[in-house]
This record gives sequence, C-alpha cells and structure tokens, in this order.
Amino acid sequence: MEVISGNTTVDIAALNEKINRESAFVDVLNMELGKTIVGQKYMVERLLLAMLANGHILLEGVPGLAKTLAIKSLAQAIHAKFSRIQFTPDLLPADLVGTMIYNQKDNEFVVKKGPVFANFVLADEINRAPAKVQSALLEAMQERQVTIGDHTYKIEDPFLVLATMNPIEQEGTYPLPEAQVDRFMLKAVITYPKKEEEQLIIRQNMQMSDKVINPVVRAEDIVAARKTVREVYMDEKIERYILDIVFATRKPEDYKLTKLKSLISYGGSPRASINLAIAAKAYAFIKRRGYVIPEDVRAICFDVMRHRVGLTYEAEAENITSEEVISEILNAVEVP
Amino acid sequence: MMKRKKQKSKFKVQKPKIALALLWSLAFGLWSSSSAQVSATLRADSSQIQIGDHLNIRLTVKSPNNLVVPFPATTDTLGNLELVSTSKIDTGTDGGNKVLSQLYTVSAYDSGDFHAGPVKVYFKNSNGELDSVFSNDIPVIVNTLNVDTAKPFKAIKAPLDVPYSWKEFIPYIIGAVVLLIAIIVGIVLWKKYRKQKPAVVERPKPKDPAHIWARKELKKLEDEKIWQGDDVKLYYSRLTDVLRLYVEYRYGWYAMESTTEEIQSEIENYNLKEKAKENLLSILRAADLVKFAKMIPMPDANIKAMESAYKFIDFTEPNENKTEEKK
Repeated sequence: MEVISGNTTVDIAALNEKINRESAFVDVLNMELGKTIVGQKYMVERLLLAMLANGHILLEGVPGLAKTLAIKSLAQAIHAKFSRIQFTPDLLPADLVGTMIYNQKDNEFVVKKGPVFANFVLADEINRAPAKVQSALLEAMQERQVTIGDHTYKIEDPFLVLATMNPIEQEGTYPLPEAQVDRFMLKAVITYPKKEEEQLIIRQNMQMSDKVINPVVRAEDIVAARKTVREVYMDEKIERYILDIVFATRKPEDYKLTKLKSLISYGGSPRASINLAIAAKAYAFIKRRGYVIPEDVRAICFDVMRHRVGLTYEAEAENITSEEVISEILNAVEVP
Repeated sequence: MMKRKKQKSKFKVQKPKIALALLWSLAFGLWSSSSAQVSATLRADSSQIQIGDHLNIRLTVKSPNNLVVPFPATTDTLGNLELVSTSKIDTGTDGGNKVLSQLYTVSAYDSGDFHAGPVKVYFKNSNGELDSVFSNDIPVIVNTLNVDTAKPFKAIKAPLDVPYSWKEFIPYIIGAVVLLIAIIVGIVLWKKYRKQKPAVVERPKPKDPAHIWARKELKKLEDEKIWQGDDVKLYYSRLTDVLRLYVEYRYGWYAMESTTEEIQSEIENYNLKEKAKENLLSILRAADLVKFAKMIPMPDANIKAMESAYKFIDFTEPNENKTEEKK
C-alpha cells in the first residue's frame, strides 16, 4: 500500500501486537478441530466467535451436519468441563440445574448440581423440551448463576451454552419464544457441506482409527482472550453504522425502506446493538486486527440479527425470510 | 196420363231448381278448380309401429306458384299421434307448382289404432278468399309387445352407461389448461412484482457528468485544506465519499452502501486498467485505516491520495477510446 507511509497511533499498534499474540491459539484450535470436523468453516468460526464474545450460540440445521460433533470437539479441545443435555419433552428443570437430595445418613438435604454447571453446555435439540425447562436454561445463560433451594450458585467462567435446533420435524416441539431466543448472541444456520468436503467426510469415516481431540487451549486463555476482544478498537463511525443497521430494523421508513415496514413486526433490541458490536470485535480479533472495520459488522450481522428481526404474517405469506430483510437493510445503509 | 201430367207439371215446377243446380254446379266447379290446384298429402314410412317407436310421416303441400299457401303450423300431435320432432320445411317445384314438405316424427305410447291427419291447409284462392284443403288421413296401428305372462317378471334394467368419448372432455381440458396457464402467469407476475427490489437509494444525480462533478468536488476538498487543519479523518472520509459517489454515478451501482471488499469485488467485473483499480483500492484501504484504526498518515501520503483520486477519474472517465464497460 503505497499511499500510506505514516505511523499508526501507538495504542492500535500495540493492540495489534497483543492480538497477534493472544489470538495464536485460534489456529491451534482450528487445527485440532479439523481432526474431526471436515469443512464447516463457517460453523467452527461462529463457535469461536461466540466463545470469544462471551455469548451463547444457537445452531440451526438439519440432522447430520456435525453440529453436536463440532460443539463436543470444541469442548474437548479446550481444557474445560463439558456437559451435554439431550432435550426431550419429559425433561424437568431439576434435571438441568440440579436439585436438593435428602441424605438419610446426615439427616439433611444436600445439593446435587445439574449438568448446567459446566464450562461448555451442549443443549441438544433445545426446542424439544417444554418452556419451563427452556426458561431454566435461559435464566442460567443470562444470570450465569443458578438458585437451588435457598442458595445461589455461580457458574464458572467461561460459560458457554451451545444449543442446537432442528428446522424440520416441528411436530411436538416447543419453539423458543422471541424473548428467550434473544438471549443467544448468535444464531447460525448450518448448511450442507460442499461436495469435496463431503467426500473427505466419507473417507475419514471409513478409516478405522478414531481421531482423538486433545485439549490444546486452557480455559484461562479463553477468559484472557475475551478481555482482549473487549479492547479491540471500535471507531464511533462503526458504532453509528451498527446503530443505523439496528434502527433500520425498527424504523425502516427512516432509511428509505418503506417497503420493509409492512414486513417487520419488531426490530432488533438494544441487546442486538450490544451483541453486534461485541461480535464484530470478536470477528476482528479472529482476523488478527485491533480495530473493527465495516466488513466485520457485515460478516456477523446475519448471525446476530436473524433471530432478532420479527416478521409479519404478510412477510411469512410471501416467503420472505429475516435474512432477506437484513440483506435489504445492509444494501440501504451507508457504509462509513 | 194423370201420372204423366203430374210428371209434366212436376217437371215444369222443377225447372228453376235445375237452373239453380246448374248455377251451383258452375260455382262449385269454379271453387273446386282452385282448391283442386292445392293438394296436401301425408305419406308414412309404415302403417304400423311398435309402442314407443318413432314413425316418419311427410306432409307435402303442392300449390300453383301464384297462390299463397302458408305451411300449416305444428302442434303437439299429428292426428292423435304424439309429435316428437319436426324437420325444416323443404321447398321445391314440380311442373310449375310449388311444393312444400316437412317431415314429422311421431310416436305413440299406447297400443291401438291411431291416425295421422287429416291436416288442414289454409290458403288464399285466386279470388283472394280464404280457402282450405285437407290432407289424407293415415291409419297407424300401434302394436304392443308380446308378453308371456307365464314367465316371471324380470328385474328392471339399470340405465345403460354411455361410454365417454375423449372429444367430450376437450372443452374441459382446454379450459383447465388455459386456467392453469393463467394462474401460473398470474403467480409469476405477482411474485416478480413483489420481489422487485426497490430503489433503496434515491440520491439525486449531479447535473454535470460524473467525472466533471468528481473533479470539482476533489478541487473543493483540496481548497478546504482539511488535513492541513489536522482533521485527517474527515479528509479521508470526504475523499472516499467523492470516489464512491463517482463510481455510483459512473457505473450505476451503490458504492456508498458497499464496503471496501465489496467495491474491490465489484470493480473486478469491469474492464478497468490495473493501475486504475490500484489507485482506487489503495485510497479506500488507506482510508479504512484512517477512519477506523486511528492511523495518521504522513502529509505526503495525503497529497498522494488526492493525486491517486484524480488519476482514477482520468482512467475511468467516459472516452470512446477506453474500454471500461462491464465484462
């Protein structure tokens, strides 16, 4: 780049240096995950983003796309406690958060903590459990603490809930209410792998030896990286860009998007703006940058916004998806 | 003698009667001569039918050309036979006579002796008076079926199914196909209309051509000496805005709503000189660092950025000799 021959200000340069240093584990983690996960770069990247942005992630995709395997592999690659909960219609909140058990020997009630007390919690097929179980998990996600009996127990950091949802077989499921789905920082829609990738998947599965995922990153590294992610510089121009995108979902007519007004029932909440900003910083971190550029916002915009833009019946009747609405907004909002 | 006389006298008495009879005969002769010219004839295909069968009977009315003979109107019956249908009236000639004929299809739903006719035909004779003539009467025997009462009753037969012919369905098939096509076309047009991307960006275009407008804006930016006043960020923001708007006005895509990466990807679709692309992208990338990463370039870099902007416009301004149109 010949135009610029100047110096960056010290803090950005130092930050770039720090990020380069601290984000080194991302490559190691990717390599380790690559042992079991073929392709699905988008999904793995979103899992890392959620982990670095200290948010929870909801993965939606048809069965067989390695959603569970990816989450399990990520937990194994990080030296952290992992638990998996298969959501079923007969699951109870106590099965999740824990309960008080009477100890006959000591003649007292003792706390039996549930599987939610882990660093990585895989909530498989979250929409198959009733609303009260979903609420128990989502409360734990938000508060990062669980109350059993009279005591409140903190959940150890890092705490990341990775939920999966199947878009088909909707009979007998309990769709997550908008208020609860908003607790997820990202909602990633997983698609089928490419042909070449699937060929590799076949070959890998034909091999007799099972690939073992080794813990290559410590939980403390993740906690430290999260702090660094927060330090990534975000210019006020980017902040305004984020606000423009979120406000365009609320008042599209202000952005010459009158057509969208009848398609959007509700727009993104302030939580959407916060999550868009944090996720953009995490994306910049993964890309080894100490500052956020509009491309970062665009890259994660669909994952942050798709479950936060409510569509009207009119939009649903016309088969318009929230992705199309977001796409229209991104095409209309000026990039700084 | 007496008898003779009496006879004589009788003769004498009857003389005027004879004269009257002669006159009557003359008059009747005249009448019968005009009515004799009109004839009505009924002719049947058969003299007997089975009950319910149809019988064709033709009525033929023959008249001189100079007479007006209206064909008799049909009613529900012909004689005491039920009239099923009538054909159109045939017209013809026969040796200077006019011949009108009509075919009647009759039937009877009871057995016994029936008759068709006589049919009365009215006409105006040569004196202009209303006259009429009767057709012949045709006896028709309607036979019933021979029923062997010794045999048991047979069950009533169900109505016969008439096999469908594909010709019967042609109008329905054509109708269905036309309706289907209309529905498909309607849906496609409706979807096309609904899916039409709205002109989301409605910026007024400058009156000047894009390259002239851009040069004026760059000159204005230069004259304002913004970066010299330490507002480098504003300088690069304005510079990139001018270039992005120039690209929009020049090539017709929304560069203001595109990121640097997207502009880079889009500009590859045009047959631009590599130098022109380099000039634009170097400015945009540098501007990203200034705008979003707090970079403060050296003064010569600011001047060079402006020079690169001018060069990009020089490379891309419309010219007959240049081939920068879309690939």
